[in-house]
Amino acid sequence: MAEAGLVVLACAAAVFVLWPLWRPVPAPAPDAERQRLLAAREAAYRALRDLDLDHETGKLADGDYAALRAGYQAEAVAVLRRLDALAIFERDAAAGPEGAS
Amino acid sequence: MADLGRFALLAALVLALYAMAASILGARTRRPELARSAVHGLVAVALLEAVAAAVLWAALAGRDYSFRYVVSHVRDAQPLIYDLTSFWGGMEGSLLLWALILSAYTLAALRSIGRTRPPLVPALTTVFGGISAFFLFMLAFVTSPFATSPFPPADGRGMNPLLLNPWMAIHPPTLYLGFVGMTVPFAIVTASLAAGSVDGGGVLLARRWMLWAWYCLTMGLMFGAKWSYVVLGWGGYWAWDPVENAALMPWLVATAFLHSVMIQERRQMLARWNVVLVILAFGLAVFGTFLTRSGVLSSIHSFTESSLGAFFLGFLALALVAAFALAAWRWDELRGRHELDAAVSRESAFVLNNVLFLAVAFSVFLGTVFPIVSAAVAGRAINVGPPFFDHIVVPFAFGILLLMGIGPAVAWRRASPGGLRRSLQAPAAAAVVVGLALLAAGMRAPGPLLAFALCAFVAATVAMEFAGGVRVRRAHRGESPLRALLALVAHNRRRYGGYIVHLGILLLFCGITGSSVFASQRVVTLAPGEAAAIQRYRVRFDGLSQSARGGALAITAALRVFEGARDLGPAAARRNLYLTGDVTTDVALRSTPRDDLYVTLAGWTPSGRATLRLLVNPLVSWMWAGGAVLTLGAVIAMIPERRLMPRAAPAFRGAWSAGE
Repeated sequence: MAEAGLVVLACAAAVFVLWPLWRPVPAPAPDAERQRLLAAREAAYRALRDLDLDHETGKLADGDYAALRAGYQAEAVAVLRRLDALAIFERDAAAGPEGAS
Repeated sequence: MADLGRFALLAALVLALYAMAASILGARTRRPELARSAVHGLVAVALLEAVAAAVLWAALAGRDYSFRYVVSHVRDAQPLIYDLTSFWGGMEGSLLLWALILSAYTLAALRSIGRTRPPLVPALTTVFGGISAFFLFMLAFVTSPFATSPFPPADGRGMNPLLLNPWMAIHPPTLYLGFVGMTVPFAIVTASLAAGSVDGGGVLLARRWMLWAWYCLTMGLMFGAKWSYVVLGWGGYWAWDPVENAALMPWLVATAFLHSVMIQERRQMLARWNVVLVILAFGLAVFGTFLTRSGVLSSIHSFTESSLGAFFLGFLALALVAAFALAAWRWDELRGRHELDAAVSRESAFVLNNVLFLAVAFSVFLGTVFPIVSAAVAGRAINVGPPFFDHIVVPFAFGILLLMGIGPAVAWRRASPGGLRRSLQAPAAAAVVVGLALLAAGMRAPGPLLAFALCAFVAATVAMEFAGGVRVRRAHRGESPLRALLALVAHNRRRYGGYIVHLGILLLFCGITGSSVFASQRVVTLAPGEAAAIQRYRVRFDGLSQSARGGALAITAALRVFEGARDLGPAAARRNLYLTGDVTTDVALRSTPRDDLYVTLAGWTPSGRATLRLLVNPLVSWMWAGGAVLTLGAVIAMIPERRLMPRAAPAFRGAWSAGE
């Protein structure tokens, strides 16, 4: 009786684990470049927000603030443009040759 | 029952190995259904481990003495709650708890990362499957909790009476939540490196998991300290015991990581360093388990001399070699995008903070393994003892405290001299005022004077950070002070949650300083009716009594405590003598924010005289309050923030919105 219970448990586990092999799923798209750009965008946003707070609480001189903010803004804009370009590329790729034209 | 437990562990081992193999094969052959099947494999592993845990708990609760583990940890006279918590009272059960917690983390991480970063899932499954397989192998073949005896005894031996305490019921699981929690950042980082998804080596994704593990480890350490304080009866809470050190080392490395990861988030620098810290934190967590399980070092926590150490060291070596090999493989891709702009900046303060934390961790490591090294080299195990740790760690702790004050006052990237001066003036003044006040109050020891002055410095910096933030919000939005404060914290949870954690650490630091430097002690032998004074307290001994309590003979000294003329009421100091030869102490403890009166019964005479050990430990309750404040800060910091959107200058408004 106990052995029968163990066999049932083993069969249930096997069916549960092997079930996905009979149900094909689409492969996730590689997203390394997009993730890298999103991380860069978050970094730029976070840096800008910290910069603003540091300036407003008097930790950062006006001249340094202006120079640093301009640098971060330029960086953020560059990242956003690359993200836009990637989104357009992915949309075209998903639409196929006809959609792209 | 035991067969079911053994079968569940064996089947879980097979499935963990299958998950590893299927995820590797699925990634290499680009067959997502194989990777999906591997994830199902880990879900099944978790379910089978839950079955094994249920079997063990049922055996413990039912006092089934055919299980050797039950015989070792349960006895008929033991309260049921401790029968249940003895699950993690021994080596086999605590390894099963490790595996169970690991599976819970595995499922949570796969679910969370599967939603945001599906390409990472196969590599993540491989790493989790590998680590699970190691623990399941140990449980199935090396140290099974389901070993049975053909001739079960009528009663068990029960747990070590020292472990029959509520703090010990929650200390190990909390500590394990921290130890095992270090596995998730490790798995994310190594999986990211293996999968080539090296946007900072997966470090940013790992940050929140590390924060949770760090918090659990912190509370595990505090619960352990509380247990030591109220149960062991020696009047202290930290003894630089090897197993305490084993939990402290990954905590120190994780603390360093939680600071340096902020630089990576903002500046995309230090990815390599952060990868190394995550690997080290995991390595030290496994090393801590090795220390506890191997019996290689004598400790009140070590379960036994056993052969487990060799397996743990082998696993640790394999994991570290594999992880560092992956990091070396991706080393060029992990290069930072920026350099430090200025010597005086918050980044520099964090780098210095990392150096100090790592220096403390290395010193503690050296002191902890010195007996092993000396035994191997000189043939004699030499213990370095608490003075070594105190001499090495205390100067570093002062440095860290100073940086805790300076860091928040310094701007990111480049601090202006004028701004820095303005930010530090008030905290420096607070430090001087506190130092002078303590001098005037008669404190002369330079160490504590410096410690309390530095605490005032840090507290003032944190207060100024809150005040500055509130001022900015009020200037921009015209909010009331309270509303501005709440909104400030709510909208900058990580920053201000972190500051609240700093306040908790300050309370902890004050408590440690006060209790370790200013504690006073007397040992007195009194006849009934006699009293002894210690500092502002007077303790009267009213007589001895004996009774049977929980299977032990309890000798109780009835006491009455006075503060000046004020009667503070009765107290009882007790020693419990077990038939097994174990002796435990129940402390008469009266705790106030100012100090703790701590009385233990050290001995007695047939004529009814009692030898009492009286201690007054100042500021101990500040430590426990520090734990509560730290919890508040950590909870605030762990609540996810909304996606960041800075206030944009009009010229850039279109650019900001383009990416959203």
